[in-house]
Amino acid sequence: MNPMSADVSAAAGLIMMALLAVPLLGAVLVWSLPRSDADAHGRTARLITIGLLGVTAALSVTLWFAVPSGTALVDYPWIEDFGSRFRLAATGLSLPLIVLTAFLMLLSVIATNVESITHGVTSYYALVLLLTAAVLGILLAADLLLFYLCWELMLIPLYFLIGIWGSGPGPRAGTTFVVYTMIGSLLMLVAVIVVSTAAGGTTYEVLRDAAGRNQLSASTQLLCFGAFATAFLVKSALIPFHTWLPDAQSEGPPLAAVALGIKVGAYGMLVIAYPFFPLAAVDPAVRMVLATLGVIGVLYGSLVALVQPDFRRVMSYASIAHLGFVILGISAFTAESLQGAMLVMINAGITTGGMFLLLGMLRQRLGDDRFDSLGGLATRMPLFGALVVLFALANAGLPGTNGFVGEFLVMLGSFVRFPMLTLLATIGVVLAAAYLLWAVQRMLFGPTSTSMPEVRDLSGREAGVMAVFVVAIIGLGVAPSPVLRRMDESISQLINRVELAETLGAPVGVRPEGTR
Amino acid sequence: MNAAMQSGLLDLGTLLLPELILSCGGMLVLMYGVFAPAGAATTRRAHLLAIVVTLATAAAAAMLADQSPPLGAATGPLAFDGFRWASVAVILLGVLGTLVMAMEYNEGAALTAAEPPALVLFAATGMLLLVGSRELMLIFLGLELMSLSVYILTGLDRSRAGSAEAALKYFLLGSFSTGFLLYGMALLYGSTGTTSLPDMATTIARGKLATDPLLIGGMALLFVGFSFKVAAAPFHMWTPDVYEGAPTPYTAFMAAGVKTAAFAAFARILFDGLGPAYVSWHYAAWMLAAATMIVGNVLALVQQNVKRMLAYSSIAHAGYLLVAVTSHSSEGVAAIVFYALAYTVATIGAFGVLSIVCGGIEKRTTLADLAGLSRTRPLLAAAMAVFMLSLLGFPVAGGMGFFAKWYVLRAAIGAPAPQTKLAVILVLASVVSAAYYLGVISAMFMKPVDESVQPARPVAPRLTGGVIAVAVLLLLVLGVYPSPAVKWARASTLPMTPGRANGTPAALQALAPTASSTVLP
Repeated sequence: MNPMSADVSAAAGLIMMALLAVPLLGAVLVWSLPRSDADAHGRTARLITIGLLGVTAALSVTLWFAVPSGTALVDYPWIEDFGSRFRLAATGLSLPLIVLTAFLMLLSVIATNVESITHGVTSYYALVLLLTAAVLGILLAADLLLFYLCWELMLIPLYFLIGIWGSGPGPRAGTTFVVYTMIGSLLMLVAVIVVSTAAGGTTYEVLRDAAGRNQLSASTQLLCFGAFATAFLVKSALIPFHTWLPDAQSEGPPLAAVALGIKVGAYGMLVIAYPFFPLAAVDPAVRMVLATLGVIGVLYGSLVALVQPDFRRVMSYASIAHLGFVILGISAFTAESLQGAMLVMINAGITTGGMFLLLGMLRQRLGDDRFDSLGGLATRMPLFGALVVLFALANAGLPGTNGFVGEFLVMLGSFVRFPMLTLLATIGVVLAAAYLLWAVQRMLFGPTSTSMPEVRDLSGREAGVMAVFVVAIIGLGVAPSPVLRRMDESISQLINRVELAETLGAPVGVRPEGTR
Repeated sequence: MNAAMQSGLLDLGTLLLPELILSCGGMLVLMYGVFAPAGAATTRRAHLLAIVVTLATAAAAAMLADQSPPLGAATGPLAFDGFRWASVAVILLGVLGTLVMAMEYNEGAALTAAEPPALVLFAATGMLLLVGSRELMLIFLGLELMSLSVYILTGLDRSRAGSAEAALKYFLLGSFSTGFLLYGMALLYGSTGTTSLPDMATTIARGKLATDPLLIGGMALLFVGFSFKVAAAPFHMWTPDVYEGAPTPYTAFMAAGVKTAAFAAFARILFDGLGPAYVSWHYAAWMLAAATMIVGNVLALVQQNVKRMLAYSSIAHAGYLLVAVTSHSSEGVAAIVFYALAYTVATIGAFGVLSIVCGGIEKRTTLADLAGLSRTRPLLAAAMAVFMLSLLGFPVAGGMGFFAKWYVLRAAIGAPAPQTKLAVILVLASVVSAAYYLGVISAMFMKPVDESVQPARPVAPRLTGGVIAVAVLLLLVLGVYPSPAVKWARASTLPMTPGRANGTPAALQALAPTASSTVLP
């Protein structure tokens, strides 16, 4: 490594540390603010949070430019006895999601107004910061144990956010969410221990080396892959593990719904399940099962979205359908399909996230936002209406918006491997247009419901937040190439690694399970 | 002649120094109670004295631990290894927490007497003997000393029928189980002709006694007796009633200290003395672990009283510890020690919170009493959340509890005969436990204060609060940077005669993996 790039990575390392430290220490700071439900205190806590998240977002952008290509690393000793190190890295796969996360969290806090958090204000904002740190930790971790800690840590703030500041039977939705994800993540824990015992450490590097040597037998790899995939797919709500998502997203506060829209599970598939268990990943049966699940997800999500009573649930099922595309793209495992999968992940985060924030604003105004009691909102709230239409079209994948590029790439890349399944998935695109436009029509157009109270259109603050989303939607739709270029190197590395293992085939020195 | 013997360290007086300090201290406290005027001040001073005695014991133990000769050097009836000192450390931590909490609680509950702290010290003496002996007779002595003291502590609150009922139940069932234990020990003696654990191991290995019917019968009775003491299913029935009835600080003592001590002794007998018979007891331990995890967690789900719920959860934790025992490896020993530490800290903390919440009125420990605690006492609620998450084994927010589970799973999976199925049962049981631990959290944070419940008498819980704060701090710090605790646990080796480290008998090595793969369901 030449001195020049060492300097760059030292700077990048500092930024990565700061990305975790700022929200984490911020959470402690905000939680220790004077505890009272008075408006003034709420405002202070909110402003501090916005400031800290603003710094985080700025740092994420700096990181994007500070890491010219490939990987940057932070490396400190941590738990030597387990072969675990405190190791952070930013790769082409994680960088786009890091920027996405930082901005989504910032915008969600700005978008929800002070009045919507009526009690426990300091705790609310502290949890938001903790959540941000946990998600960023998942994306930055380059050690499996560290990844696991952040992965589980993410549950805590979400549990409280959904349970305390959610509507309806909040605690139940939160508990369902935690128990569901824990089934997956504890099975993952067993797999983490199995693979780290075999490899003699938990850093990604050690595990990749072990995978390169095919240290685990094919059957053990298959079991571990299964455990990891279950955890990841439960967390990102793939059929048949999806039932917790609509409840959590529609009953939790908008911010929780946005955070749940960041598909860290699919990210885990790409950086952990595939590279560490290549023999299982290239197994034709595994591919077929995953691709089929993906397509079922697309179709089922779209069909169920047609019959939902409110827009938030429609969006939940839409994101289940989007995840189907992501999984289809990942299981096809071609350069295009992987790029497409990454783009769909990013886009779903942006468009469903933006939509959840918009719907949160509406709910704040109306309270009851079932389709039955809505109608003709476009005349009352023209700006709101226009934005909903735009977000719906982006979600449905209209050319010129970000939604189009991702789904197009997924289908392009997947067609080579799964022609029939890919054709089936295209039906999902048609269905998406149907359920979104129908939902838009029921909410925005038609006769105005008599029971509906007067509503204001979006305020300047709210419109400002939405403007950022609009820029992202159009920008990524017209010029996705900077993001795609960023991912190129990491994706081709990933493909090489997995295909290398494929050509190596079964373990050379076959060793029985558990011996070291 | 080894170095330790030359320096005269191995004489019995030195080896028993911690136990001697504790028991003499206990008598001192008792005497003080006799001569000082009865009253709150005397009670407080007696507690303080007991705390000083405990600290002195800890210092003596630390001094001895530093002198520890290399493994296997001590051949007498008393152990001189890392495992003893690590268990002693965990137990003394529990004793200290109990004494500090009891000092405040007893004043609130009008239990003014100097005897309770003395009894705690006597029980602790028994525990220390229990974990430090390599001789069945001494182990039995320690067990009885511990149990008798704890029976009395359970029934301390004479004004409550529940307390007396719990004591009677505990006493009757406990004596019954002691009978089993003693008979088991007698059979072991009958089979091997010795009560010394190392000699027993040698005899079994030499005489190929692993499948001797007499030995198996003895082990079966031993399992029954110890299962009762550590509250493993199906010998757990006494636990919820006794935990619920006993005054809260002493429930904490039972859950933390008694369980740790009994487990340490159980593990020592199995590893040190019956190691060569692993093939024979492995299956029993496996079944016991699985049943205990499942029964404890499932029954905890339906509890409304948090003390009862914690009783069932302590049963489940006995199951997790049994998983480490089943692994029968030095990693397993380290896992037991590490787990016991995390569990002790979290349990003491959780009961501390309960003793503040109930404010001296037992029965006021239901979920309804905890409702809305985050509004009235946010810090207390946050601390309780940390303890619950720690018992659940949740990372970061639950702190050290996660690494405890991690360690046990590691021991199970990395064992010479991998216990992967047991590991899977463990994690699935943990998922079940999420429901009731989260139930406590959701009651505290997501439910409004129950207006129909009169607020309990407010106490200024400064001391208990201190214990809770220390517990939270320990859990959280070791949850992010567990290396010191891991190193400490690693050092706590147990001579697994004839230790796997220096060569397991070929016969066993050939037997163990096949046995585990064919016998396991």
